[in-house]
Amino acid sequence: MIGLGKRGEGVMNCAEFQKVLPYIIETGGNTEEERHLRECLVCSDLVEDLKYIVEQAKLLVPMEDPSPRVWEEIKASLEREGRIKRARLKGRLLGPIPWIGALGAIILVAFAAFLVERGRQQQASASVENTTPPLQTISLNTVPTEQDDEQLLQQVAASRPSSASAYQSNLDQVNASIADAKRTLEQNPDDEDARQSLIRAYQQKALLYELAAQ
Amino acid sequence: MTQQKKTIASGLSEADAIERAKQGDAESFAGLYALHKRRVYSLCLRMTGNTAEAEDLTQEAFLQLYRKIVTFRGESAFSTWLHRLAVNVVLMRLRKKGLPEVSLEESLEPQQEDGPRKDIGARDNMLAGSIDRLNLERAIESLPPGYRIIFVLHDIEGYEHNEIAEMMGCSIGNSKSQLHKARMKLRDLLKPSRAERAAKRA
Amino acid sequence: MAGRQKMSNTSRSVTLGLLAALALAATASAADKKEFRYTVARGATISVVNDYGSVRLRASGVSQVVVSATPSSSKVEVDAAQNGNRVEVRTHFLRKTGENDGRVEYDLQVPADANVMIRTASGPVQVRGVGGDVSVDADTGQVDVRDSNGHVRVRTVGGPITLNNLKDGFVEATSVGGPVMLNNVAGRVVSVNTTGGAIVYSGDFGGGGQYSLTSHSGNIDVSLSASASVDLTARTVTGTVENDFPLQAPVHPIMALSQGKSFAGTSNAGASAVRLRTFSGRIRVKKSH
Repeated sequence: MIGLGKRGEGVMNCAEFQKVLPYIIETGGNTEEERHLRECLVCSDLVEDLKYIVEQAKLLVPMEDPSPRVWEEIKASLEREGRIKRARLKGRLLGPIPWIGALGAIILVAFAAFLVERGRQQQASASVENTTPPLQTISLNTVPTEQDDEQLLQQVAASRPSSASAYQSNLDQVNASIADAKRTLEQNPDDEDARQSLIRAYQQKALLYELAAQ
Repeated sequence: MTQQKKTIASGLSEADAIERAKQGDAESFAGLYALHKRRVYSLCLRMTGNTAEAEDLTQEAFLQLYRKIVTFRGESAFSTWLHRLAVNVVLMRLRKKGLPEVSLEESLEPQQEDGPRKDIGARDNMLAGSIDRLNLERAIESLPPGYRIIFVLHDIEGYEHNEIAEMMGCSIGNSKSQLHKARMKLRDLLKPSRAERAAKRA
Repeated sequence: MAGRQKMSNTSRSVTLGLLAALALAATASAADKKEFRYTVARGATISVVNDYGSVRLRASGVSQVVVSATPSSSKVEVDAAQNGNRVEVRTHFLRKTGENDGRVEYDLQVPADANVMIRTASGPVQVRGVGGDVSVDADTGQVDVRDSNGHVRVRTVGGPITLNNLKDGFVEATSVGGPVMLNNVAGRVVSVNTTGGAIVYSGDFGGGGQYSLTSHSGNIDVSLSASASVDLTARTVTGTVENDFPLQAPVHPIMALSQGKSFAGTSNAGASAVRLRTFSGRIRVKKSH
């Protein structure tokens, strides 16, 4: 009877298989273990379930931010320790959610989250053995291309069709604002306001990627 | 002054932000926090299952990061370094609270319920297609701490067994066996009960 | 005057739109209404994830979370659970469904000190009287947060944001294309950012906070009460600026001023730092009545 392998010469039973399972599930077993898995529906169901759990666990991207109070506490501690200078003069706004101060980093954090999510979705059907942590593989020196924008829109269209047109029009708007600010900055490289506008435009694009990835 | 701003604004990479943070630049600290806070917080939350504690640990992890950032030499990716540091902060806290992690072998010896399934021979409904994120998060949260930590580290955070063994002070085999028990426990937790199945059919 | 009329109309249309959406939600069949109750400790966190349909949340005086949910069809169900001091509510699609079949209308009462996190795609969100941290993310849904004194963070793709009677906390409102309306919003740090959305502020900017209202191409309209104590700077790159509010010229200007593109000045003690910026949008500051 399948599922109740008989103990005996050269035949592995379920209890024996499940005893070695922790050690072979990620590497594959020997011939005998593989044969038991092929022939036993109970154990193959079990292995499928465990693989499914592993796949689902990989889809658990970080969803929540800590309270803004956490950063306030950190900042206060760092100031007390003299590791950072106290907040600047009024008029210079660091912001409640820390202003990142870096164009590249701003856009990339959201873009990385987007890629991670996409990468994980693509891996959802991969086997247990193929467990690559995607975050480390992302280049932190890339900015989204037109192709990435297209993929973002496709992802939104698939997951939240009613939001697709809003993402399309707002992405167009953000890209236009980036082009606007870049043009002005090229004409006048010392225009600090245009530079700030460009940073903010990238921040807005980052927001779109971040919201799309949720 | 203008020149310095240009350099920051025109493309400060994570590496630049790290170097600036070493010099005490507040905006770079803030930038690094913004980049990594969600993943660090999520790690702490999943390992502890407690919002307030997770926030406290996130704070502690970043404070340690900033205190130690001058020692970061780029041997590994910054995110790898930071997450390892965060894991250590959490494990240290759990140690202080007396929760199991170092003496894993003794404290988490398989209990009867975690051994080979008693219903060997009986097929059950399979899980495929039935888990949603909330259910899975909830099931992970209800795992015993020792199981939960290893599951989070291996299956969510992507650590290898040898790394986990090193961090937890246990053997690689023990890490594998605990992970397996965690997955088995999750399988039990995620299987709808007969009553639930009947209710769904009704 | 014309500007004021236009500003009021924008604000009113957003408010009416939100009310209409919430009213529509209220007319949904109550036959399938479900209710969940959870007792929580101080500082509980309540998270709601609902793509379609409204989320209306208000603070109550008791330490209980009450969730009323009305699904629009049998294709959706409500998944609610308490884990420690956290209550999670999520709309769960049983099968592939669209905006009509996938709607769930939520009405929640939470303790006044609760922290709230809401994620929606197109559903309108209203949060009232919550003293903890409020975080709302939406695609096109309208978001209205009022009568709160905690930290408030609202982000939308195109959904309009309305903030009313907020004080003491940190406020961050970001929308790519939606307008942001702020009425009597004061706090230690208030930051508003849009790409194309208009920003409308009326109030007195509190007494000592930092305010930054920024839009790329949207207009910024500020109506200041005469008692406002501000140190204000306004600047646009290619748009225009107009000021009808009596400001005293700064003694030590922190930026070079150019006619029609920027202005700066203080009013009363200049307690709050107010920074208005656009790339191509018009900035207008005037006295409120």
